[in-house]
Amino acid sequence: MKIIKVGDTQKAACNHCKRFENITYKLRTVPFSDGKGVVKKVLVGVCDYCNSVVVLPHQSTPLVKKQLEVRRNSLESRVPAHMVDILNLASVELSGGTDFVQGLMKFYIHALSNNDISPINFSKYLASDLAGGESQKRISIKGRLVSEDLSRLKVLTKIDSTTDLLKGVVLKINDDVLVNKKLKRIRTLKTVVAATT
Amino acid sequence: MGFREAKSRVLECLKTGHVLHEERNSIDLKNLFATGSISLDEAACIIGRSNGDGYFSSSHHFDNTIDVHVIKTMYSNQRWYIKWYFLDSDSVFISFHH
Repeated sequence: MKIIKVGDTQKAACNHCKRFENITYKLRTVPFSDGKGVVKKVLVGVCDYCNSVVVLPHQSTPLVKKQLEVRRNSLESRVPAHMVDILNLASVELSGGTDFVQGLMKFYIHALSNNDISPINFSKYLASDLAGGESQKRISIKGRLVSEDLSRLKVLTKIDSTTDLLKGVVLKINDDVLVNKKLKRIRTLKTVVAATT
Repeated sequence: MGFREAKSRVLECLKTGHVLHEERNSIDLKNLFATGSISLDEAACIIGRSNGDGYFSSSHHFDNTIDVHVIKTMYSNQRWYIKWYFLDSDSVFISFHH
């Protein structure tokens, strides 16, 4: 495998200068082409004339892949503050602490996306009074299946917005755990808590 | 340079890791080779299975002494589009997607 070092030079096509230019390999923070996220301190070839990133040596691709996986496996959304309170209360109800909030969200997203919990009438939660309010707090979920599950749930519920979907999941949890206290569901969740925390 | 020579030379680059990916100030998510979605071996497999039917070349817009090579080929039920040029001992991939 050819290994390039910081400071190595060569020529390459610069699409900004529209000619072959001398490039120098440097560590740079480079964004993804869709503007969502960056790869920090990755070795790239930079045009000596215009300072544009021109090439990525193959040795840098594992770092790009790793960053893409982090991006795919995490989900963040801003929601009204009371949504976080609902999650904390439900988690305390199930486990005695707030540590289970992420697990609770992941359980519901996975179960809803696989029809283990019916997503029918899911949109009614978004029409409720609790769905409103200024988005002041952040929900962050990390997991291998989260992104895939969420995409499936978007199709099932015909809700395109990730934030709306997460709000709906929180309100579904509220309905099941805090309002209607569905005993069978609560028992299942307590088993998950026992197994994972 | 014809298909056979271009294929043989690019496969040698893939074998020895003399591979660069062209970027335009950001990491092109369409280029599956640059994002690490496919490995050197997988890239060599895809190109190795190609025949000359979907191959053509043209001069590079910035330097007409450099040929840009394009292969369109089927692999694992997907149609792949691969575009690259040679620079010294390296292959510089412009596109690698299906």
